[in-house]
Amino acid sequence: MSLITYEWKLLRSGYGFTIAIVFFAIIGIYGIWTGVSWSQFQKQAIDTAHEVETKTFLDLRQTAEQQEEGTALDPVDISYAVNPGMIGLFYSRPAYMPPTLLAATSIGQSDVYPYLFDVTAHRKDAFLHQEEMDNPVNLLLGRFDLAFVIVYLMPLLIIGLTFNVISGERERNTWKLLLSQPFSIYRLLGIKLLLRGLSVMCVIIPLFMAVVGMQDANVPLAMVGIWILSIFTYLFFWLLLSLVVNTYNNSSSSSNALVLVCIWIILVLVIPASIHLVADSLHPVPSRSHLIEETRQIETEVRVDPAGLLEDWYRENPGKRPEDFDPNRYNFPLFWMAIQREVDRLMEPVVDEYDRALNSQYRFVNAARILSPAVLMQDVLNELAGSGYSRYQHFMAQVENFHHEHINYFAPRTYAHEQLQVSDYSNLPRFEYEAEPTRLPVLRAITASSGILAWFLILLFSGMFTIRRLHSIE
Amino acid sequence: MIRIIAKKELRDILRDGRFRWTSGIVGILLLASLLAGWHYTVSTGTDHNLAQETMREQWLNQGEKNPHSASHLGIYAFRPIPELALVDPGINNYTGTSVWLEAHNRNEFTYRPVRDSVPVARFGELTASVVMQVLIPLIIVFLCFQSISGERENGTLRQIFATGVRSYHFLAGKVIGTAGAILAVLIPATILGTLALVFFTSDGGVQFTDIGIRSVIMGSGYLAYFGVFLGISLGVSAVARSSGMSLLILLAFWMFNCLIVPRVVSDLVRSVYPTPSAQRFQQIIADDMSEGIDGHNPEDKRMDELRERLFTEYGVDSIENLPVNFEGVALQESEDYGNEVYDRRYGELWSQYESQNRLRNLTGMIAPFMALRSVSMGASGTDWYHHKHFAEAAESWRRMMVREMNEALIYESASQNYGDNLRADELWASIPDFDYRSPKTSQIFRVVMFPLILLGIWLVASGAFLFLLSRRLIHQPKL
Repeated sequence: MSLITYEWKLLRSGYGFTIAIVFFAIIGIYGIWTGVSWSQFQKQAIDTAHEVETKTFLDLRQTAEQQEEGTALDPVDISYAVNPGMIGLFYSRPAYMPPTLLAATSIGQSDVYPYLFDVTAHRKDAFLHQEEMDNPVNLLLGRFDLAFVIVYLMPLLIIGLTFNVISGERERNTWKLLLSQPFSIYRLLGIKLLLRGLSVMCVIIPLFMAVVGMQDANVPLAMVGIWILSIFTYLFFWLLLSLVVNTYNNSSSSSNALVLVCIWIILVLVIPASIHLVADSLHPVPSRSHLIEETRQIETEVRVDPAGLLEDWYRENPGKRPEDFDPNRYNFPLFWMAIQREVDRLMEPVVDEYDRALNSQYRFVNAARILSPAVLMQDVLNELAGSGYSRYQHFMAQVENFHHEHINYFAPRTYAHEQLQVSDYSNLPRFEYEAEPTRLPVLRAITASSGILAWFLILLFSGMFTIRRLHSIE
Repeated sequence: MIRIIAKKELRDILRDGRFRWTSGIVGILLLASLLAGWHYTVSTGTDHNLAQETMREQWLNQGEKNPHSASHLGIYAFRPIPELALVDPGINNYTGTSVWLEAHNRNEFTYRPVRDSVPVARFGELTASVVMQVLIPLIIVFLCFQSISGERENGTLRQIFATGVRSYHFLAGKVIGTAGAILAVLIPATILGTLALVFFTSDGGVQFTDIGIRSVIMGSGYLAYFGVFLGISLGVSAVARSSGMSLLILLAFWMFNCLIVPRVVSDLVRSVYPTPSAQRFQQIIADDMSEGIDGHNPEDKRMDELRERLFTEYGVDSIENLPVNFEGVALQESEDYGNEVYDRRYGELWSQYESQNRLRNLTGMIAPFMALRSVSMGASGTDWYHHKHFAEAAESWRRMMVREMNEALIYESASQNYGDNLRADELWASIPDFDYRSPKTSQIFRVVMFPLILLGIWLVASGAFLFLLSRRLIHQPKL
């Protein structure tokens, strides 16, 4: 016990330690503020979309009611309010991915992936480009969120606090004195490292718990547990790395710092960037300019004979052909709807090619990320914050389903020339976001987290040899 | 004397195994990133050029149709990829690659490359600019941190001065020797980069005519930046109590400069000059269009007024009797109104971006990284200014095309039927191709001037720092 007290006193005696920890706490709070303001921004955008949606459909419904009562004034409005083609094509429904409970801890990819689409019965690529309109320079420089503080800066702080944990004693000529003390040198080093590590955790855990406490709903315990455990593993990995570097016989404090910073650069900057480069070269996503060219080609061809498409549909759905259908008279919502469906159908294999390339890239990165504990740590934080690739994919699948649902409601009614009734307004398809079951992100986080654990264990085993000969360090 | 010291310094560094390893790795990274950048620039640039040609063909061969349908077909404008993007792709991945130019709507740029990349992309890309902005300063720190403090610790500093060496000769020798070692890493990369540029321009993808000046601006920016790090590193090494302290201070500065400031600032400028969500922005525009800007002058009223105006102008009392096509006039009228709305709302949004960028540029005063970043992106033509320049060129083409189509409707199909007297192919061909010209050289200077001056100030300040120190090198520092 006394050893801990003495070490703590020693640690507190210089200003460096206190300044570093206070600075770390300040940037941690800044990181949380960044994350919280971003998730509030997203929530507000989703709320705005809902308000607009509610008001628009209420207005339409009122017009439809006036039409039924015969009190309507404006013939243009009426034709919109009861025309399934016009409503399906031009009155959008928001499909959205709300920020999760832990969203504020890691912004991850959420600032470049869209989280809100205005879905209509137009073809898919008409609404798939609704990215946020953030200043691109801001996007390039990246966000200063809690995840950045943990993944990038925490290791540097650990390096700063521990790079001379043995070499410093040797340079002050106190190492031999320590070896001759009646306590085990392993115990002393353990205490030194733990005190430093725990001080860092004493900053991060309260910040994290503050985010957890801020939420209206309870954050699942498994998520909290995995979050904290992963951070501990990551932290211990860097502590151990510092210790191992320190145990080399002829190391000076500055060469230790040098080596540790080099390792940090390789693990945190170079390997992730190289993984990206290799993934891009191995599984390149074809140029989107080809996609644009192809889409236009297909659209031009489809536009030639929309009536033929409709005739096909009527053959498959007998009894639905309106009596006044005239294939030679261009009927806007009717023909346009048919064109959109056909373009979507023909584009599917083309778009699949892009998705396949992206998925191959993703699979490659998922395997290659084991090369960097920083990428693994970022993945854990993204998974738990719901700002990673998998949750986005899950959302996109829902958007696609909803698009189909929307079309399946409006297209047949449009083709059959049916009018919408006021009562139909209560049954129009609406998007309801369905969250992934908690176990999925937790499992993905555990997978990434076990990668960090593997790094820690490998380092532990390979470092054992040098750590065991501590007594022989001169 | 300076030469002898420089030679000794250079020899020392080149013999050092640590230098050979780190500079070897960084050199390889630099070459690899240049290669990848070259591949990206050539392939994407070629793709975009080809796609632009296809767009023109589609436009010319769209066949018989009414001009308004044609203005809905429009074209996609593909952003050209400037040659120097091989060094610094800048914001290219975060803005879309192309924009659809059609009637009624000023569309956003689509297909941002960052959406087509995996999450690990956010760790940063391996580009030549990143290697030079982040890793080379670190090599400089590693080379210099014990350059003077080490001599002091070994007791050689006193010996050197005892031989009568002047302290500024000593410092100048150190600067030149270390700079020589860094050049050993940079020269192969520069040769490769120049070769890539030559190959690229011979590939038919010339975008900028002033590539020479741009390269010089970019090069001097980077050299100034390295000079700043060299001066600061040697200076700190001279004032630090020990080599360890010198390393700690320099690493802290590096971290502050390359890691902390860029991200902190991007979140800070966002909160000082907030921008609306895309949802809100589109809503504002939709409201302006239907209800009139600020709720005055709604759409229905605007159309009634237009009808009355035309009736008075031509002395008729019904649309059928008008000598011009009413639909065409109405379309152009709403187009003009829309342009007014877009000008105002995009103006507001972009002025927020620009305020953000100005504030960000100011942080170049505390972190040379920020100044260099602006110079590098500005010179390579991948910064906000160049993006805006392209977006504006595309938008004015759109307005011209839509106006021409509407006028064809107004004057050449007066019978209120579409396309009666139109010679379609001639009409399509009368619209000039979208031929983007990059901004003039003088404009580039205006963009990079301020950050370039900041870098200059940094360079002078770090030089002065060294010079002032030279007088008291021999004293034991307290830091």
